[in-house]
Amino acid sequence: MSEARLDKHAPEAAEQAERQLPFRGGGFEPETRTVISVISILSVIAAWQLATTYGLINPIFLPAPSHVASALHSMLVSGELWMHMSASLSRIGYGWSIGTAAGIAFGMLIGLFSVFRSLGIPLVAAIYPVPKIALLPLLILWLGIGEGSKVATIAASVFFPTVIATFSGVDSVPRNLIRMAQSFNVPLGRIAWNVLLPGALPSLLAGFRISVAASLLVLVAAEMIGAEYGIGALLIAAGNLMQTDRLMAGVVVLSALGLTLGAVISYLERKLLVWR
Amino acid sequence: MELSLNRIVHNFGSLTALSDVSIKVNEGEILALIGPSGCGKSTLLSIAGGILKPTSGEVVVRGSIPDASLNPITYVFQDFALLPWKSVSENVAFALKHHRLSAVEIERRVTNALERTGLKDFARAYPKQLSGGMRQRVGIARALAVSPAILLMDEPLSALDAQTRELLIEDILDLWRRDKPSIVYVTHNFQEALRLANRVCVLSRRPGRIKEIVEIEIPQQDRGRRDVQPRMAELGEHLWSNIRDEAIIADRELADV
Ligand SMILES: Nc1ncnc2c1ncn2[C@@H]1O[C@H](COP(=O)(O)OP(=O)(O)OP(=O)(O)O)[C@@H](O)[C@H]1O
Ligand SMILES: [Mg+2]
Repeated sequence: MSEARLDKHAPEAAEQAERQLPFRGGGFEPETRTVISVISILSVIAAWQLATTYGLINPIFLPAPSHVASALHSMLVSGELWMHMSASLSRIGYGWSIGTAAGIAFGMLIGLFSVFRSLGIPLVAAIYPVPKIALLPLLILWLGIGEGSKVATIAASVFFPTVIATFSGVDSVPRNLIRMAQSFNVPLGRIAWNVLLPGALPSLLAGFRISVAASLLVLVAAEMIGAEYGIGALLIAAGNLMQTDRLMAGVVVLSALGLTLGAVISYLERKLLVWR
Repeated sequence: MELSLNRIVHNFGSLTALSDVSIKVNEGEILALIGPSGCGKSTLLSIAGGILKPTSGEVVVRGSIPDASLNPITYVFQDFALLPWKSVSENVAFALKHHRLSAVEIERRVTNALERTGLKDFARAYPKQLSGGMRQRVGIARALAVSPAILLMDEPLSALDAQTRELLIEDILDLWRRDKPSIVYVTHNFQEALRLANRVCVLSRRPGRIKEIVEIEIPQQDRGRRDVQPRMAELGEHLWSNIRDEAIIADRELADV
């Protein structure tokens, strides 16, 4: 009998011939090749630079990357960039922390108690889809035009996705683990801290990605509406003066900020979820 | 310590899972609870362990609780119920931490439990790094660490392969001989029941009620002896014929649902 007897209905002659078994695929495993990523970004920038240099793009509408870079550099040297950055970072820092802390607490309550669940879920469902920037005028009435209203708007935009991520994370913790803890008489506080929170962590970290993006969005919008300093204020001011190089520099800063925060979350995921 | 379940009835909505079950677990015995799938074995054990409230009936303990016992009635779960984010020793310590013990005492109990279950070298491992048998050893170690008077085991070996099961049966018997806790051992494998139990309680198909209690008078360590084989075979046949009819009917009923 031949070794490569694949097809019973093959004619006799073919049955005698030895054939290689074809490889049929090992499941799809797309990977990111860093080299390709870098090359693609560089070529986009190069094309952009060339297009402006040869007059294909009007530099008033879109400045050359080199101009953006030099605007960025001069703002960095003059300390102007840092002034805007620090204002934005403190708003987002406070707003995100407050929204996250409150969101986790409320999400835990929804995950634990029927009262909060029946009360909270419809409330969250009703308010979550509202773009939180719509609350800014109201919050300005309540808290004034200063920092308070901006921080509160950011906190509100962070709160809702965090609540949802927390309680769905808590819901996804196997009930058997909770029953196990109860069978050892472990008190509720310890169950929440040692069982529910770590179990909800993957969902919570995924929620952080959403809440960070939401907070950046609201930050810029709020700063555009009324702020002296901040990346959003920089963008609006540059736009009004048609300083597109400074405007684009602001956009680059935002992109870098978003990437950095995303990298921090990825780092936390690697560190905190080793057990998976 | 003795545990009595008196006239336990349990309904899940309109479904009666247990109807009027009374059973007493004697001090230091292994009681196997056996019956067809869905007859209410897990339900009964949950009620005994105080993690499910029966529709009616009561659970009573009698006798003194050993001084060292932190959790007199302790559960071992079918799916191990280990916290995946805690290492082996942390999982065992989790059952101890809320007991106001000194750090030294916690350490002593954890080390002791891990030694007795052959897990000493795996103290820092995470559950995902362990085989199924090892994971259930952690479940058993966690139960031992609180020095239980009564161990409730819900099909502790059914998620494991036959060889691992064989090894763990020996381990469970060793542990039992040392401290003599009472054990309620739920299984639907009558061979396991024959190896371990002093008494085998056969439950009928749903709604579960006690069909028969079979006493196995041969001591566990002698059950492999050649001269008792005829008697063991006789007991086995008796149990199997008892379960078989129930299982066939239960199987058909499940198919109807
Ligand atoms: N939480 C629940 N809600 C509704 N019905 C349930 C619930 N838990 C169990 N039941 C039902 O009660 C009956 C008894 O369940 P139980 O889990 O006690 O059976 P069991 O004897 O342990 O079965 P198995 O051998 O499959 O583990 C089953 O018919 C099951 O479908
Ligand atoms: Mg069961």
